[in-house]
Amino acid sequence: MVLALGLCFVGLLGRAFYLQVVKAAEYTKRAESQHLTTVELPVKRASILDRDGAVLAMTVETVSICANPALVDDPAGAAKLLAPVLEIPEANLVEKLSQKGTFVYLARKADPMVAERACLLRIPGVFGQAEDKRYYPQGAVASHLLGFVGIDMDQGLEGVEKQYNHLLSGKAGSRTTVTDDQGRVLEVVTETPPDPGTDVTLTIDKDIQYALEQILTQTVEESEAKRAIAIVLEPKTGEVLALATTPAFDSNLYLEEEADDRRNHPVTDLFEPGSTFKLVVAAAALAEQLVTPDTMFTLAPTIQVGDVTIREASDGVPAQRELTVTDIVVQSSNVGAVTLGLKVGTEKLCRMIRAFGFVEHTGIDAPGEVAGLMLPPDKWNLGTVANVPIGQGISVTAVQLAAAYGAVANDGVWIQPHVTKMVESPVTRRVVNPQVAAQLRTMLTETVKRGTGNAAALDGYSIAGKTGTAEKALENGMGYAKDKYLASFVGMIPADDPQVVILVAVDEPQNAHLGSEVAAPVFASIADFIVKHLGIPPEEGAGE
Amino acid sequence: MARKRFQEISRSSGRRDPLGVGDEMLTAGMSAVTLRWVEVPGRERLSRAFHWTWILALVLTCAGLVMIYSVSTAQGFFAQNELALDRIRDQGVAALLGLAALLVLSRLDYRRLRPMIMLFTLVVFGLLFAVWIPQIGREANEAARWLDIGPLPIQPSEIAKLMMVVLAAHLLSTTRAKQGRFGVLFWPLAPVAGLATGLVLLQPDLGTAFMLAIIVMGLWWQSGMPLKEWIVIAALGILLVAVAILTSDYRRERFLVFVNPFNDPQGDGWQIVQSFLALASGGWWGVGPGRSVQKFNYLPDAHTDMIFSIVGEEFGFVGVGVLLLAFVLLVVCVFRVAAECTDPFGRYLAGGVGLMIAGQAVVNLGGVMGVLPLTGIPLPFVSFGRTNLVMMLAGVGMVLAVARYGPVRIPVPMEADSNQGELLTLERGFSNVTYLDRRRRHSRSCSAGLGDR
Repeated sequence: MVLALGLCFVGLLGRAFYLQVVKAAEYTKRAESQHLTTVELPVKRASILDRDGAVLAMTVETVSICANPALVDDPAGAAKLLAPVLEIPEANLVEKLSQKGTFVYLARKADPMVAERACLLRIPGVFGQAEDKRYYPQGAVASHLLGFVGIDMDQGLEGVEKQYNHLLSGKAGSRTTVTDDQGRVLEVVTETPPDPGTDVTLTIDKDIQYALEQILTQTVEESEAKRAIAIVLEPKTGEVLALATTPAFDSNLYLEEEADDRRNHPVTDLFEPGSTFKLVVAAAALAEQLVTPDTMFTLAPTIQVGDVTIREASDGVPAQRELTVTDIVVQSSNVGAVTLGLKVGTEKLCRMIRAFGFVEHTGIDAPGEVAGLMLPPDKWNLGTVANVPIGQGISVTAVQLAAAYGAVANDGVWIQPHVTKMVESPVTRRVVNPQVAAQLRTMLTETVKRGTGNAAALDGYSIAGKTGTAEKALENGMGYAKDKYLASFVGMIPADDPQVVILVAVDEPQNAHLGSEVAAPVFASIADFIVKHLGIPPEEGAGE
Repeated sequence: MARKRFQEISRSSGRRDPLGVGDEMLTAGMSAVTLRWVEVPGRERLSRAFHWTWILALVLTCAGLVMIYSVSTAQGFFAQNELALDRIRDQGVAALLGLAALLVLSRLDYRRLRPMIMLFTLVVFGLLFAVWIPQIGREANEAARWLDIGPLPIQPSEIAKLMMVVLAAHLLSTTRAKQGRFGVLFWPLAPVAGLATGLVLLQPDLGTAFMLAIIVMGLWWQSGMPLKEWIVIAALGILLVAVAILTSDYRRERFLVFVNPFNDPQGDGWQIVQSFLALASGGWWGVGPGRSVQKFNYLPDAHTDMIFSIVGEEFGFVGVGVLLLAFVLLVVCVFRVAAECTDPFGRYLAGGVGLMIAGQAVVNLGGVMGVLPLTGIPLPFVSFGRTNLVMMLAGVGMVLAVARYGPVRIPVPMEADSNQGELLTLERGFSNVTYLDRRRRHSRSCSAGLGDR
């Protein structure tokens, strides 16, 4: 009997050895998988600021009201109490509180005050859970540019929120703890603190942006247009001061807008520029020293290129007239532009178009940018040759156009446009020499003084600018619509030392359609606001 | 050889020189002296086994108190209550009661217990029946195991184990005239033991019922039951257990869990799997005193039946080895006391207590380590369980009494045998059953039975 007991104890010792030494690794792993819990330490998404530090997007703490249906004894009674507080239909709540499972959201990201009132009802099984929410304190300012984030806050889905998601979102930390069987923490094993995100500062001035949106909204109403867009660019730095499109809407209600209205049109949409593009032809002719601003051309009312006939926009043009290169720009002569284009030649014109950045992406740091559409030079036919100098048969974005005028304003140096201060050294490229740039500015100044851009004039300031009235291509790509136009004006102020470049484009205006009638006055009111806001002093002897 | 044996026995008996012949004679004149065995009524000096027994029992009790405190602190950690203090106070009171019982019983000649055994048996049976009385019986874990009488809740099935030891020792030694004859060993012990086991089974408390069976079988073995009959009874018992397992779905599931706990680690296999994880987490040296994680409610019953797992987790294989060694040493000492006692009653009494300690330890440890099915048996001295602790310490007290008062055989030289009559006279001073039995055997008396002495 003693022997048997002895064997028992030896066997037990052997078994202990087996469990504690032989199987130790395997079972310890299993034990750790039930003891160790790793939780994410949330990080607060960083803010988006305007150029002066005003908050455009921020993260606020809200409380989600949740319930554990398994613990709710009386769903009907609970719903009756909660419905008036949460402002949710009672039937809706009853359904949620009666379902199976142990977790359901009753109201996601509710106002903390509402949540507090709901929790004070002390309904068993109903509780609050802190959750971050993205909030846009300025409401309807720069909504298209800012974009929005997903419900989980860590993913920017559109706009700057998307472009700079890697900076804004930061990195969540993690904490590994030893817990008891119900998940209660006994000991912290390792902890990686969250890495907070970096605030993104925009180059946008929220006041200019707001004014721009107001003016555009008004313009769309008055001219019964489909849409209006505008860009304010600082030519010396490439910083975009404002970038607006219609309709304006509250960023906090981003998803309630239609997808098409949420797009950041100045960046994502192409249009045929029309007469504003004549600047490029003039620039190419001057840069190649084929002409001087005073070179005289004798022009007929029409010009025939292959089987394409180009005519002047207005009727009553004399059968023959003498125009200098400056006059061609000032009067926005189509025949003159085509004549210059033919003189420059396809290859050199293409090169200049590329130099102004109309073909590639500008590299603006807003998502969804598209490149311009231009046929490669070897595919040009006579129709293209006739159309491109007057800004048809080529598609560009508003940003490309504004940047091209920015190059003229910046003494011939093109600068990559950008909307945030995160772009510290934008790409720069010389397009034309300063002399040519100055000549072009003089032409544009003349345009406002005595030409088609007269409506853009502003008392006390010299303004350089160009109108554009583009025919809109039919959606099937076969020719142009008879009554659909894109009226635009691109200008800079003050003309001799431009501080800002302003682009205005009104899509499909109904009452009038010419850039000089529709877009130029809008430019004037925008410029009026900007000179006052930025404190640009009036010049003596300028304007009327 | 003989000389060595002589020295050993005389040393362990504590009576170096029983007849006053002097060391010189025993050692120097050994070769000239013819030895014969003489029974002496008791010891002058207490043996080493005596001391080791009480020391180990106390050490294990203290280790148990420490572990119970450690586990209870964790179990009450989030409840912010004083569970640990309550537990340690309850178990401490039980330990003091047990210690008192140990002191009293170790100072009392165990043979004086005989007249009280029948009364004790009747009381225990009364308690076993009383658990079914709704006013005082308490159910826990769907078993009626406790009695709420007085300040301490009593678990009659725990008392039944000690009762079985005492009763079996008593009955088997009174009928010793027929030692080896099956019928006398079987009757009346078997029906009484069967009744007690049945009552315990009804609670239901399979583990304790199994322990009762082990005690009776062990004492039958010790008292010399013929091998054939013993094997038949054991086989019948095993058959009974097998039938019991196979006929009940619940028991069959429990058995299958024992065979492969990982089949259902989240359900029925939870406890044993958690026990494995605790032991394995300990590794060689353990995670450190008090640093167990499994005691934080992962392991059910960590303070009672499963306390060994936490010992394994906190102190590792080394700690487990030490604990096992302590149990082995204790059991060896108790059996040694039994072996040295020439009085069958004392021998069976000590042997039964040893069997109770060893059997319970083996069944508990086997369950915790997954080599036996889990039956809900506490680890002697260590587990939280007040009735169990008191009974264990009381049992140890009886063993100490046997070691102190039990007659031992010592070798004496032939020449010094003149005092033999005196010795026997002395023996008559006690209710020496050995002597009575021997006289009965000489007179070929067949009358033996309960109360017939």
